[in-house]
Amino acid sequence: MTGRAVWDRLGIDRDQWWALARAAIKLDFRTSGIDLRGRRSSGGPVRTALRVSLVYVLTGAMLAAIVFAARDVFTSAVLIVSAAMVLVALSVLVEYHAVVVSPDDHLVIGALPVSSRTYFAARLANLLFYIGLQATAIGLLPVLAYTFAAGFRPRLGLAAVAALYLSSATSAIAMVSLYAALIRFVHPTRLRRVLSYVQLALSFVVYGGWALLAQFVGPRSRWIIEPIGSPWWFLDPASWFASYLALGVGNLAPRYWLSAAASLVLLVSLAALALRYLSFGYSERLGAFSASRERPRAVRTGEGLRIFRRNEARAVALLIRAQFRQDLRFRLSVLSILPLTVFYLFYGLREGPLLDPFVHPDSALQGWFLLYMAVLAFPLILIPQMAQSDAYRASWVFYATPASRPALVLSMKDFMTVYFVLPYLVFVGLIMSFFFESLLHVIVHMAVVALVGHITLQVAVRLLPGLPFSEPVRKGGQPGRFLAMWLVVSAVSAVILPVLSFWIYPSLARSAATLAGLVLATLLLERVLRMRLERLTSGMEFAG
Amino acid sequence: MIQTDHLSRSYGDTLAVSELTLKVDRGEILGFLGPNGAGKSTTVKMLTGLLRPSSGSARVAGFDVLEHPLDVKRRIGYVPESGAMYESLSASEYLELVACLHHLEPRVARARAEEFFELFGLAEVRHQRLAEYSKGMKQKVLFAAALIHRPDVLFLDEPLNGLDANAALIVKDLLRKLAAQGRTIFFCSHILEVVERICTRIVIIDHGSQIATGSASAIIRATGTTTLEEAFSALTGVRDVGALTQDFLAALEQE
Repeated sequence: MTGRAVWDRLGIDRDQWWALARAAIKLDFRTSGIDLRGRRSSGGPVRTALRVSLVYVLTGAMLAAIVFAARDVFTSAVLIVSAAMVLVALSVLVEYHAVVVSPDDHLVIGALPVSSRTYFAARLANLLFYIGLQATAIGLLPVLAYTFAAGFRPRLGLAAVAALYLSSATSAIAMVSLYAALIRFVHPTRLRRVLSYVQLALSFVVYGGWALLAQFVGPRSRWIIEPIGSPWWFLDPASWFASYLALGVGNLAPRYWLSAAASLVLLVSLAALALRYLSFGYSERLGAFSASRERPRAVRTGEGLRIFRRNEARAVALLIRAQFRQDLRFRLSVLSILPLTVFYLFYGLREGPLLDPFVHPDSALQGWFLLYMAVLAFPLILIPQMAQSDAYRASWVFYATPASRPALVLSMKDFMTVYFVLPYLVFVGLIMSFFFESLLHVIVHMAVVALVGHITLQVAVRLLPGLPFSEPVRKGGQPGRFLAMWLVVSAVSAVILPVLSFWIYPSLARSAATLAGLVLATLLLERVLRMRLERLTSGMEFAG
Repeated sequence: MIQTDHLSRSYGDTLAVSELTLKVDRGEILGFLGPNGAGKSTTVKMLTGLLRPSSGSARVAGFDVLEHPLDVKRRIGYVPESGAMYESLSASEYLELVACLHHLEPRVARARAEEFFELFGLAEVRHQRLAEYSKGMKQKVLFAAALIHRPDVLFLDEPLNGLDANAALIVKDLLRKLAAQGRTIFFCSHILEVVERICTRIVIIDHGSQIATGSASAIIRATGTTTLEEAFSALTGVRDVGALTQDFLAALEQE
């Protein structure tokens, strides 16, 4: 059978597929705009690819350490492949879901003679391109470690390459199949709502998987990972791909052969499912989705936004709320991050009872900084997301009106503070009030955390300033931001807050002085930030 | 109210607008014409503060666009050619957003918005998302957003795009009345009949440079043609439309 015949058999027009896939990748790399620093937000394909890859190479370095820590190859492989699969799922969840569910492209090519299957295959290729890039970056150092760590073992290296690529592809296709199945089986008018719930549920599954993995590697290991003994591990599909490595070092036990075979069956089944069923009428369903209305609903202007009554603050609040309600990409991004908060809260509370730092000043050093991570991480990740939108061309309105651009940027921070940080802290404060000896202690402690949280947000805005929904959405931008934000958040929650707590709570005078100092610091930072933003935005021009 | 002096803008090596010098007085409706890619939108973007000129200067409503951009923006209204707006908002939210960016009192903004909705027949659907609007309805909202702060100068880039005949009539009448009130209107359009009917003066640009200026009748006279359409074609290089289309059709027929 010739190559073309295979394509025909699959129902895919090869030339159209190639044209669409190539155009999609070109478009992604060419997506441009100017950020507040006046830089083009895309520096060409090579730079973009390198930027995306660097973060994953660093993650791969941590995974490569497992190769040395684990007592046997299969155990390390299970952990590394699991991590790679979770990371891929996370990427699809947070960043690439739009490749599958966004009806935007359909509006452009819907009227062209492209079959549904060809269109879906092109979108799948677009996604797999990024997943391949990601798998290469994550796997680079672990593969080198397997190949060279215990003498030159090329067969093991090749097995690791196969395991990482195929497991990543499986993870991606599984996620895509789920989204595509939703598009196929859920009525277009309800799709937006259903997708939101599914996104939330998937986030819990993926973060939960990650947390389980961390549990396994973390407290039990102490730098040496004992071999996996339980046969229950073979229920984890990652272990099926990890079996390649066991076979690669010459461990030819039947369970590894069976697992390896199961992995291939899984991958082929998912691919077949995607091609055979999910592409059927895919583009037509997307078309119906884009044309459908969930029932024209009257939007009650002003409801729930009473805190921001006028000018830029009001404009930004209106926009963020509307984008969350209606912009599927933004909504799904927010919903994919939200469960992080719940996990951090859960793990923070699992560290033990919340001791009153006024009574036990050293309690803040005992590890419940995870509670702070939640309040700090979510807004920091979300603020850069708020700068991006498919409707970025509408941001001309910020340039053709006398609106203050620094005020627009700062209003996003204020929105996050009022609608996320403060409610979360009130909730945590309520929990703390059961453990603390005095309500005043809770209030003072929460005030300190709120002020530190606000200062962290100010630093984040200083590092990554952006006008609301005014930059084109860029694929691959998230990992770098995640890492940068994680560093800031970890430093604040693991070091600054505990040290502050240790120092301030022994006396009321110190507490008052610290509060006053933090208020002063945040006011000063606000002023400095405003001046900095004024400088940054004064020469800006519309890039739409 | 609008004055440019050797205004230029380039994108890399491409000169989009070259040494444009023009003056538009209070109460004047200037028709700004040119073929696609001639530099009309770039000029408007420079005058509205969306783009910075590469060289030259411009004053709008008495203020230099580079030195006092905010003072300019307080006094102008703009309907962009792209029609881009945040479609997740409802029409009333969009007008509220624009009013907030102009620092209007919420009470005043609400009252003016209601008037626009009545005028354009959008009162019933003002709480529906813009994504659910037709192109013409969105254009009406953009028009309302450009006027909500009562600007002295209006920049309209293809403002009649998608409007139905009734709405177009309202807009044209409105423009005449706004001009009679002393407001200046910078009107970019490809609909030459409308330009001929409502504009007091016309400027034609091509390849970024001004190639003609004057009233419609003066331009027609100067080119020795009988209509503004013919004059425009003669000035912008399309000499024989019939021969061009014939060549195109012949090329299509080729195997």
